[in-house]
Amino acid sequence: MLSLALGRSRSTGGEREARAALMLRALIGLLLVVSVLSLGTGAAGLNLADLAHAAIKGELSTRDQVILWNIRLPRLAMGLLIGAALAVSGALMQGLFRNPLADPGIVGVGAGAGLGAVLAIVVGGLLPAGIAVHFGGQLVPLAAFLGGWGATLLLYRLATRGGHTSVANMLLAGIALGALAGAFTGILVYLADDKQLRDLTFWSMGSLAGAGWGKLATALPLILPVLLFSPLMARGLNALALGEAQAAHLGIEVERLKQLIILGVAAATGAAVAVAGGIGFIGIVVPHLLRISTGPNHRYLLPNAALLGASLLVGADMIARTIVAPAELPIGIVTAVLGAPVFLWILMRRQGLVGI
Amino acid sequence: MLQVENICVALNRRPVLCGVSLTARPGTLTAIVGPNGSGKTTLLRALIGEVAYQGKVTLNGLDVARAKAWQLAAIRAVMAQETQLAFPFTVLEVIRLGLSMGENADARDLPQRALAEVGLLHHAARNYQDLSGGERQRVQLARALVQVWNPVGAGGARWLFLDEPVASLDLGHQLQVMRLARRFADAGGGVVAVMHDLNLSAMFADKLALLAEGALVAAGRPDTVLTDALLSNAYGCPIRINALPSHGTWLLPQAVAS
Repeated sequence: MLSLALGRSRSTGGEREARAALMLRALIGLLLVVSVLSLGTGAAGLNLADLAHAAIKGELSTRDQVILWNIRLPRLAMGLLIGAALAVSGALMQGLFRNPLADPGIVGVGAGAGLGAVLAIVVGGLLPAGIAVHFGGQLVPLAAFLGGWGATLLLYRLATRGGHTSVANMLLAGIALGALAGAFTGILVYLADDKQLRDLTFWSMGSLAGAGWGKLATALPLILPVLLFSPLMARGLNALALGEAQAAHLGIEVERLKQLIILGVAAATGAAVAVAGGIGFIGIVVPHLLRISTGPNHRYLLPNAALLGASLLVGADMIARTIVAPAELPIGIVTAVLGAPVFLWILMRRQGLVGI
Repeated sequence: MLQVENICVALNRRPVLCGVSLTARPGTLTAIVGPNGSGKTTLLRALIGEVAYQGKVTLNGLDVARAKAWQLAAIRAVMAQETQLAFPFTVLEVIRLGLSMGENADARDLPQRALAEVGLLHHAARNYQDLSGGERQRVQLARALVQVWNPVGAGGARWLFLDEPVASLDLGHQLQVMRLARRFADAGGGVVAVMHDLNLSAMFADKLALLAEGALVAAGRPDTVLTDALLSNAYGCPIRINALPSHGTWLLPQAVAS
């Protein structure tokens, strides 16, 4: 009887792991399919058939080569990178705050980056021409990244007393800081001229348009380490589900883990927001869908979130590029239209999900 | 060996515990008893390094205030009064959290064995959040057991620190949990438990530490601590001890009508 029970519980205990491993493979498949579709979709007339033809015959016109190498591939890579960054950052934040509805925005990245971007757009116009030219198109992303990073550091400082970071204080200070950044942003918006307003609005809605190898090279060193090292934090995040004190008793260096997660998320989301603007809901919806299907174990959640987030953002970008072609919809609109109902569905499905 | 030298704890600048010195040897079960608000849980939290204190606490020679989390985790496990879980982990997943990276990491069937010990094997695949309070307590005990599965290992004895381990349990499971703790001590490990039930403490503990108003009133064998005078004073009501001659232990503190 005991051995029977042992055998059964072992199989049921391992069921989630098996499902998570299967999910990993399915998500890799999805990623490949979406990537190929994305390469074959766009305003210029290079489609899947052309790509297949090129793959078989090994020849592609110079024009198509340029489209593929200079427009579609960097855009695909950017979508993958940013989608993965947002989803993994969301999963990390939710694990840290022990709340499935936490979002990278909580650490002030969004508000700080927004202020930085607006500052660059509005005040940047006043800079001597030489400086503006020197920075080229990089002034807004740079300011956004610095704004996001600065806000997170400030928030971290505010919530840390005597070596202990209070996650609850960080949440509350984040609300105050967000409101303050919003007020300053409002002042700048008030001062902005019509063209600047238009730039601002589009920036805040997010877009992968203008993705190039240069932008990719800026974002990659900030995002890739977070993606690669996040699985190392899985054990600590799992333990953190029992509470900070219990996690420490299990041997986790809790304060260092918090520090790593906060700085990692600030770097990854800061870079993502800087190069692509405000893209919402990926960070909440992706980890949550995965938790429903394969459980909350971060060992599987983090890599799977990276894959699903990447696929979803590339998919959303395909919609953004084609639905009003030849014009483009800001991708933040697409993710919000798709993500907000899913978010509501999650809320309705599980009452009492929020532990505060 | 657990050595507590003259520790004081203040919470929000209010002193809640002062001048407590105590030793607990491997192979024994020590129960911390006392009335509500006497500082029992605070003392336990100091012993596990959860609150700052003045004075010194060493566990197997390791300074608790300075040791790294992993050093302490390798020799002692802690079971809190109540543990809220943030995400819907299964019972088995919760217990696996107790598997340390070192000596127990390879023993993959340990979680099942620990779960069988607390009689919850049939709940292995259930969502922890769906369990009753008492079942959660037993799952947490199993998790703690997994962390220090062998009562003696490299570097000395292993320790269990339990904060009211039987608080939400029925009579049968109270005995089950206390027997597990007793067995751990008999096998060479050390157990320190905050207890409310003086009878259970008298039955299972080798040593009682009686706290009252933030001070250690008495510490020693149960029959030296469970006296009418000490208990009546500590609990602020008249209490009489009855001995069961057949049993050998001192039992049944009994309130008398005044």
